[in-house]
Amino acid sequence: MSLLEVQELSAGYGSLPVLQGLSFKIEEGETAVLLGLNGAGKTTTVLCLAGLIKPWGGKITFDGKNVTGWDPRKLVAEGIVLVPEGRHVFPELTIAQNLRIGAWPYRRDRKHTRAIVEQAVEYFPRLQERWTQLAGTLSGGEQQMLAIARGLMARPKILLIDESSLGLSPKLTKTVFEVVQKINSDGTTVLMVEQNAGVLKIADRAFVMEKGTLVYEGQGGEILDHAEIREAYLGAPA
Amino acid sequence: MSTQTDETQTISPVASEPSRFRPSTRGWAIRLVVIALLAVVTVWRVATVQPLWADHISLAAIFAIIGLSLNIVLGYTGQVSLGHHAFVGLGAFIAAHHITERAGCAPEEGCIESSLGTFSVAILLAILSGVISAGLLGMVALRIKGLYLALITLTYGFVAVNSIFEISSLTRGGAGMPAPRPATFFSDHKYMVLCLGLLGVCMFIDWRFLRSKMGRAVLAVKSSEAVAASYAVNVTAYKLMAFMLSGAFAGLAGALFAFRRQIVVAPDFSFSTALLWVLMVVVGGLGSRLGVVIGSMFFALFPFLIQLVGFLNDFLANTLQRDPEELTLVIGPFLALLTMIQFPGGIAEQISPITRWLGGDRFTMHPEGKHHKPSLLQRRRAKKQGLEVHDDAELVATKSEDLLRDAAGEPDAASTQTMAAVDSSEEVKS
Amino acid sequence: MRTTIVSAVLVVLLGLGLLVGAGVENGPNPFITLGVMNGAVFGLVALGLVLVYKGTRVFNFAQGEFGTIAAYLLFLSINRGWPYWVGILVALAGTVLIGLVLERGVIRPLINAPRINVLVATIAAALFMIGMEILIARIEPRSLSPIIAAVDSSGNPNGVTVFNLPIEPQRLIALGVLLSLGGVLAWFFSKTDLGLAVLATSQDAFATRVMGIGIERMSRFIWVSAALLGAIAGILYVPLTGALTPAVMTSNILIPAFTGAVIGGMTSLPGAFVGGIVIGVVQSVGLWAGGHFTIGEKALQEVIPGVEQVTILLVLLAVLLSRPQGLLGKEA
Ligand SMILES: Nc1ncnc2c1ncn2[C@@H]1O[C@H](COP(=O)(O)OP(=O)(O)O)[C@@H](O)[C@H]1O
Ligand SMILES: [Mg+2]
Repeated sequence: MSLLEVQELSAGYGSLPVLQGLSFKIEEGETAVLLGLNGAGKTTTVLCLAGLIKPWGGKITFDGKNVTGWDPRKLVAEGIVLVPEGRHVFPELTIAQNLRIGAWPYRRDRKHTRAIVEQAVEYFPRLQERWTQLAGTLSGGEQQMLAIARGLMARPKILLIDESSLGLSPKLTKTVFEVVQKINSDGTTVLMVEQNAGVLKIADRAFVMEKGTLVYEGQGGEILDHAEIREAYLGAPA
Repeated sequence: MSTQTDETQTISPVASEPSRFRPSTRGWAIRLVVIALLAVVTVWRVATVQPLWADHISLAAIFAIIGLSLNIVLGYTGQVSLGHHAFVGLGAFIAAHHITERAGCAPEEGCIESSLGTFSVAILLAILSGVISAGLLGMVALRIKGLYLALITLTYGFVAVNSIFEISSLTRGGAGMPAPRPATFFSDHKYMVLCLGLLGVCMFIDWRFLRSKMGRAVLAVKSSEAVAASYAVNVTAYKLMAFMLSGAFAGLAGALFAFRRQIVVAPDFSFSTALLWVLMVVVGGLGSRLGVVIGSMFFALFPFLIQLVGFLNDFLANTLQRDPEELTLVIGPFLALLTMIQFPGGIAEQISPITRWLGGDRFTMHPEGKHHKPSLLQRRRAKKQGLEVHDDAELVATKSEDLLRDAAGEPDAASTQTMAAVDSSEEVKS
Repeated sequence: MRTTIVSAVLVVLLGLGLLVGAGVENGPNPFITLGVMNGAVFGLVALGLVLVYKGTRVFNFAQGEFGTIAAYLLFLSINRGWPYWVGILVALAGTVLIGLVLERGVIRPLINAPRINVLVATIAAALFMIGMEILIARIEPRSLSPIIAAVDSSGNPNGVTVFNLPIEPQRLIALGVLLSLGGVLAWFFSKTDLGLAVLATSQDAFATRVMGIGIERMSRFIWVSAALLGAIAGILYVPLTGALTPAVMTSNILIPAFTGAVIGGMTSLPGAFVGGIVIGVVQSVGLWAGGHFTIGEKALQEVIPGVEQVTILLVLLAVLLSRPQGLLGKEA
């Protein structure tokens, strides 16, 4: 049984449909990537998965449960955690406080929280150096790291990471991807939304979206062999 | 101080888009007949009205002028004035003071009618006082915006009531400053005609102002400071002009207020009155001239209208033993809340099918582009997406800037700011 | 850190003022003392204003009326012969209920509206409360007794005497309550998860939802606390004025409290506390100056009536034009 199964998902904003019958599966323990041009509906997809917008139709099954239309509160407790596009760190709180907010579901369990904090910081030693700095004063790369670390605080079973490489230098992007790979190998399933071809190196599975539907699905490396897909969706002749 | 852009953005005025539909000659004829009928009935009703109601209608016209004055600040510049009772009150006292003290027409000396000349000068002085004090407020408003300006105007209102209106040479203390009318407008009926006439003049000026370069610039600033900057016009001066025009209306309304009762006392101008004025503009429909006039008149006439309804009047007078005027302070705010939560656009929006039809549009309950209120968030989101999709160069530029910053290891202040902007645009309604 | 320095400077200034004042015949010292006491009430209302502003970036013009309503509820309870403490409970519970209704019925539907619309909505709410007060309780003033009577049964004043000025027990209670509530709130926002979550919500509501935190809960919490703070201020202040009338808290307290909050930077709880006291002293000294100084033959207050109001406007303008972030303008 797959960890996450999406069937015929449709959703939109106001009266504007965006997702029109989207279906895919993610297996436990893998790193999947969702590719597509701007406006394809990738962010809408992960917002739906995280419960931040209500699906119009279709079914989302997670860990054997039908979680369609659940509240973000319940979904986070269930283990679906989103690292949103644009990082969205709390600018006027320190790094430490940002992480503490991330551990909200475990707020009554101090010891547990401390343990997760330590684990998260192991992935991003740079955060520890700036423990009491306000998040708003961090660089873009550091904010991205903080956003991922904050997502980890809720002990996700699946981490949805939306455009983590947006606006980062190639070197930083590589670092972030490597950490995500480490997080995955430590047992967290990952779905990355990306436009950066570099992500395919760490991907087990890749989906390509266009206009709210899936147009391609395959192994991570495979996609690089399809010249037309590569050029159309990754804009990078590898 | 917060510089959030949405602080300066209020409910958008009802903008009429140019429509391709043009009625036939017959269509026009029907519309003209309807307008003419409306006009005739109104004029006839008003012309034959009882003196008591003439007085009520004068008050309604005065409220409407105050509404137009507030609408300029609130609807056009997007700022809130909670101290309009100060402007109106000052106008009233200045006018009364001129008649009684300067022109020497005091009732205790047997003068019960002012001359038309002093009367006119008194009104002009009141307008001038409004222009000057609103101009001062405008200068403050250029530096202090949004929520904080609201606080300052409220404070100024309190200062006016507790300080300026206590200056006994201006207000004669508790006894009040008399303001006798001239013979030309002595009867309540004639005075009503004057008030309605001046309301018409104000509506005309307001219309011309909004059509002028100034008016358009001010509206542009309201929707976006950035757009305004690209206008390359002296927006600051225009905004100041808007405030001064608002002050002129307020001063005029004050003078009319004074001559309506023919005596001015400070308790006429309390902060709750000023707040009620703000709410009547909201109920009427921010930015809509006709809506504001209707809303203001409704607020002014509400207590008298209740008395017309027999059983309501009985209930109030006998069972509750309350003055209908007291009810305005409960019903008014309630209507305002209802407007803001359920019917943004106010009365103007509700009657827009009719007004649009009269203006030569098709009759429809759902004018184009108004099926659902386009939320600010949606519009901004669309703008952002537009940038991303159509303006790749821009995106690349942001990326490389960020890259440089990362390389230099500098704190990323600029991108935090952009992010703050994105924050608000990304809030997804569910 | 900044808070400590600013507070220390202000305390020193206050001490110097008292020293200088002691040398003046009919000097300002009793007024300064009274100012500190009044400032405690301003500070309490300012705490509520800051709380709402921190949590929702809204100026709550209904904050004062929470207090008036509470005072009326207390008055009604006492009039029915209920014990004072029951009256206080009724007042607090009733006001909290109003806070809940306001949050659910007005604030939450406007959660995505521009801030200035929400401001107008709080004005409408305040006016609605004033209208209800007038409709139900009528205009005429009522008198509300204090928690501890100002004079005991044999006619001697309770409380303490400072600079020959008897300070009623009620004022001391107000000061004590302000101090403890200020402390509790400061602790709450810096140390508790709920406090941090409230701050986080105000900074990025979307991200807070992403973290699985219900922002409705945060909003409800903020408005209930604000209503509670307003109610406490009303219960403590109204007995001191001698007259309970509709809108009393809005006309007497709201503006100095706002000014205090602005002096403190609008987001700082210690700032609201300090700002409230500062404005209390400034207003009181203004009052003293109005009676003490003369221009020509006339007293200052005859030439400029309401000197204390003018002082507040000037302070507000000065702070907003020169240092809009206030004296202690950081989140705390
Ligand atoms: N809040 C919103 N309101 C209205 N339309 C939106 C909103 N968010 C996204 N859209 C529209 O939905 C479509 C898909 O957007 P999105 O899911 O963000 O795409 P992607 O993440 O693949 O770039 C776009 O056409 C976008 O304009
Ligand atoms: Mg996206």
